[in-house]
Amino acid sequence: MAERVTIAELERALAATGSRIEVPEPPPMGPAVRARIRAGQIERGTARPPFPGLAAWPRRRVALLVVGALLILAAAIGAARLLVVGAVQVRVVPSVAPPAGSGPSLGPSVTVARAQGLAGFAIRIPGDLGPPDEIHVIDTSFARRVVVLAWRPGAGLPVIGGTPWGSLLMELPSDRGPLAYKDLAGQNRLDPVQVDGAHGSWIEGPHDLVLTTDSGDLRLYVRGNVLLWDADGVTYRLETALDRGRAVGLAGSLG
Amino acid sequence: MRVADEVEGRPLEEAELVDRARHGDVEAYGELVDRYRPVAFRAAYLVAGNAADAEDAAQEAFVKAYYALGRFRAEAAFRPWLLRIVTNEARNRRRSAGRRERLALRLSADRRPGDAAPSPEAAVMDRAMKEAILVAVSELREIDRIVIAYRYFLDLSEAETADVLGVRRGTVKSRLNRALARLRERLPEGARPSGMEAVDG
Repeated sequence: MAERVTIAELERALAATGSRIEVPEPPPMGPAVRARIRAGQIERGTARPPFPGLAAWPRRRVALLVVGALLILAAAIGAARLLVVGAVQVRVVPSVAPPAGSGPSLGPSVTVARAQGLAGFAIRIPGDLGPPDEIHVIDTSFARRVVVLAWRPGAGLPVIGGTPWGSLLMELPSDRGPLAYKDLAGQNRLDPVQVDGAHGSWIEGPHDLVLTTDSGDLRLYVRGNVLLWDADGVTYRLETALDRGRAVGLAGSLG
Repeated sequence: MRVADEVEGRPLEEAELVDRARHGDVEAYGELVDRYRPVAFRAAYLVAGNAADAEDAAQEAFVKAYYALGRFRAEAAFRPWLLRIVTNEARNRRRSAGRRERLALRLSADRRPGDAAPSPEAAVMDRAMKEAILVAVSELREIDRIVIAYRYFLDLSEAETADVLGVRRGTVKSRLNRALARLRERLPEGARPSGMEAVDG
């Protein structure tokens, strides 16, 4: 009777197979990587990568290029994927459109304490907004979790059109590379901005936010304006109907 | 210019290269890129499944890793830390391209020097088994495929695999056990590499 291969046999066969897989010769990368880093240093005005602990680096700085330089450099190397703010990478896509349905659910709301226990990093809440009305925790790739804090509209906090919310703050751990993508198209405006001493980006116009999870991409359609910045290993994404100045003020009240 | 120890003429240790790179020495970082380019490209290829995406992912990962060096712990190993960034890039690239088809991993045609020459029949059977394994691995879901590919095709230890995937070692062990069981289910009954006897259940 035909028997199925055993696990031990399978492991040996896998090891033997691994050495026979046809992998193309790795292309040279050193020159291109050096050139891209040097180009970034010119834009950043420094020769060093972000290095916490040095007096010259009071906060972890992000690899942010102004959008004009981004597009020129991207065109030069044939890739429009250079703008990174902590755990969020900005991509340029031909167009973005609202979803046909209501969009994916973020799951049940949890308490601050529960979210704090799940997050693995310190959740910060803007003092100007007070306690959030809802908190959601989303599992993303490689066991990292993203926290979404939501506030309903109220005095001084206008509703984000097409949503029941006045403000949404997403907090993403940024210590292990990108967790999310922002897909922007021609109708969006993107400007560099300073948030409490850190570099950030201000994005106007509807666009897509794509979270990478172990079960696939979670694509969220963003209707409000967004302030994006990174501080101390966490990337913050504040969505609001407020203008840039007031959004930066809200961000500055982060506790 | 290649970065080298000026006194003894020997290559610099990895820790020193990392330290120099953290202080803005792009040439030192370039040396790290040269050292880890093969493993980074191979890892990216195993995840992305084609050379173009693998090259893009590996190059992007090297640039990002440079800017993330401030968060790299000096006492940690550079290779798994780098491969974690490579893996994320390759996964994201495959996903953003909307690729859902199975990977087209193939066996190389040649035998390695020193391999015992099998009989023609055994060679055919052995190759057929390995090809069946590759097809079955390629059809696994991503999380199973990556843990198997990194453990057996990239030859990472369990500890390194855990570092790369950002999970505990025990999690790698359990994921691997589940992935192997699923892989075994995908292989045809009776398929067995030549010269191997059953030694367990």
